[in-house]
Amino acid sequence: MIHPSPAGESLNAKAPAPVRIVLDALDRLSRLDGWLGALCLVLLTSLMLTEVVLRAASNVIPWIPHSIPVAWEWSSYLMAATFTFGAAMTLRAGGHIRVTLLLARASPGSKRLLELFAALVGFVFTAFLAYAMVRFTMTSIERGQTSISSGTPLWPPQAVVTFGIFLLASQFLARLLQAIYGLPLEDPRMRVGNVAE
Amino acid sequence: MLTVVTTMFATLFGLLAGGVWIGITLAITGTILLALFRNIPLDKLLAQYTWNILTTQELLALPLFIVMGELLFRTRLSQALFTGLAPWAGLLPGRLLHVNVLGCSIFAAISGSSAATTQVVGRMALSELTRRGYSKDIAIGSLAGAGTLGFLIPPSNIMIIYGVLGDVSILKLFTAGFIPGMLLALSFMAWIMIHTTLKPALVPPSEQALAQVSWKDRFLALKDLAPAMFLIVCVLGSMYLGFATPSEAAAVGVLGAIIVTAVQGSLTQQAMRDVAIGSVLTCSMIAMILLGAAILGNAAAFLGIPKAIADWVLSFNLSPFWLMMALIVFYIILGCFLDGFSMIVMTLPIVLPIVKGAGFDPIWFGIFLVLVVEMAQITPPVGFNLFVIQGLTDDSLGYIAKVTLPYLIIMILFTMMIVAFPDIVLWLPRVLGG
Repeated sequence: MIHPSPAGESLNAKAPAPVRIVLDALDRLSRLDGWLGALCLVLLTSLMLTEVVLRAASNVIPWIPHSIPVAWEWSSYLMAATFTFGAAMTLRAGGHIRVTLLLARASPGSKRLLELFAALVGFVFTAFLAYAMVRFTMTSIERGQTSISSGTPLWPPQAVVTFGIFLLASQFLARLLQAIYGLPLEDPRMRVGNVAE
Repeated sequence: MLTVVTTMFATLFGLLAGGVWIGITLAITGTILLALFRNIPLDKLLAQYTWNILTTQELLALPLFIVMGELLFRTRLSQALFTGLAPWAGLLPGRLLHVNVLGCSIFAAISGSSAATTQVVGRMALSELTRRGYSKDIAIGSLAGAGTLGFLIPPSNIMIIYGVLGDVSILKLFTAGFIPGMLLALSFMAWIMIHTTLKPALVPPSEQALAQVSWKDRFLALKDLAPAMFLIVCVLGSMYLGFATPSEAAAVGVLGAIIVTAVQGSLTQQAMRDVAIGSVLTCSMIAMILLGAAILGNAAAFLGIPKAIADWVLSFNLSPFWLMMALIVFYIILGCFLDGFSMIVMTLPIVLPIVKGAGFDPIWFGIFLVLVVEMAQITPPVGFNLFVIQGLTDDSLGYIAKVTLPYLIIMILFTMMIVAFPDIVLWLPRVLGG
């Protein structure tokens, strides 16, 4: 089992210097945001657990509050953060699902073209989505939007999700560069022996 | 409308075949449809869809069950299940082969994932069965078949996704999965008994001794099942005794899994890091296709595509039975190329209106879908459970698929049975009400 730790050789060693620095930085960034995703996941699990424990305890001890009013809502923000923060690392680790029927049978030349195409398409879309999320969050700030159930300002969690999408877009950009320079596209060292699905 | 639908399918197939990630493909297709056929502020809509699906509160159970699965993956639960069940399975014709089915059924009641179920039960059972001289064909086949119970017996990650996308109560879906899950497990066991009685060479003769184990030892062995039972109480108990919603039950399950892992001394720093990263990888993988599905689903609904296709299909006046037969064939073919999650999220926006229009109960259809998804997990060339077993035994995919075939046929027959007798699915949720 290998760890997503910065140890080990850079996969981008063959790229020209300025590009390599950018790519290495993006690799480090995607590892970091994987850990941020994990942190959000830990927080959300704790929040939900506290909610359950409080409810059970309040049946026995009357002065304990029945529940944390924001538990569900804030957990859902943490979930969104986990999803988006982990997305970039998952891309680099090769964890996102794709149909490889054609890819697996293509000649090295056409395989490279297909990978270039896929990375380009992924970058263009996620970049647009990142732009859309920035505008969405800006609108939310301008109008001072708050959630209906608890009055929590919506822009901080929205900004976090926006940042996660932005990281994903930059990882797609990195993949595009890696495809152009013929570097390894995925880093299996980032995988752990996890159970997909 | 024809142009809209053609554009949709052309974009979908073009991008998928080109190897673009499934989530990205779905999202782009939805975006292109909106851009071409509707004059609306595209970015606003896209951001709103993204925000809504990622923060859907009913979805909270999913990351929690994934964390729980990752934790259990690192426990010694597979040994415990084997030693606890073996003296009991020894009573039946087919002997320890039944450990595969029984073990998967029990683990399925803890975990929401069929790949995890196959992995955890198979890790111990496969090597032990082949070491004792059982036929490898039947050991692998029964594991591959029974592993799919992970999705049918609650809790179930697939049902959470279906519930969220189809706006169906997740708890009701869970309830509806019980009886079909147990019946399917019994069907697998019946087949093992028939198969081994017809071909006694599949079970080594020395295994007869297992029937002579004393009853005292049998009951003593049950203590090995204690951790599994404790976890079932944590998850299903908290849900059905009314303390907790599916998401909260999942949180209790995580706590239970942490306790079991800690008691077994498996909660090392290394394990915790692996659980954290493994969970994030799996969560993001599923979230990406879910996001794509939400964007395409919303866009398609906005353009009236599902209704148009549903009207077209319903205009053939297929009887409900033949409609379902057509869907079984459709999904088996699709399942050869797509994994279960992708299959559900891609087809649901179109198929659900058709099925509802034909008068089927969405709860019933959820169970139907789970069954066809389970088949998808064991049909080559793309079948996650086959990959899992390949990881355990290093056999060729073709061989694993071949020995799994009888179990696939049982599942197809079973699916036809729930089409013919929908009450197998709907009786329990109706009786329990809610």
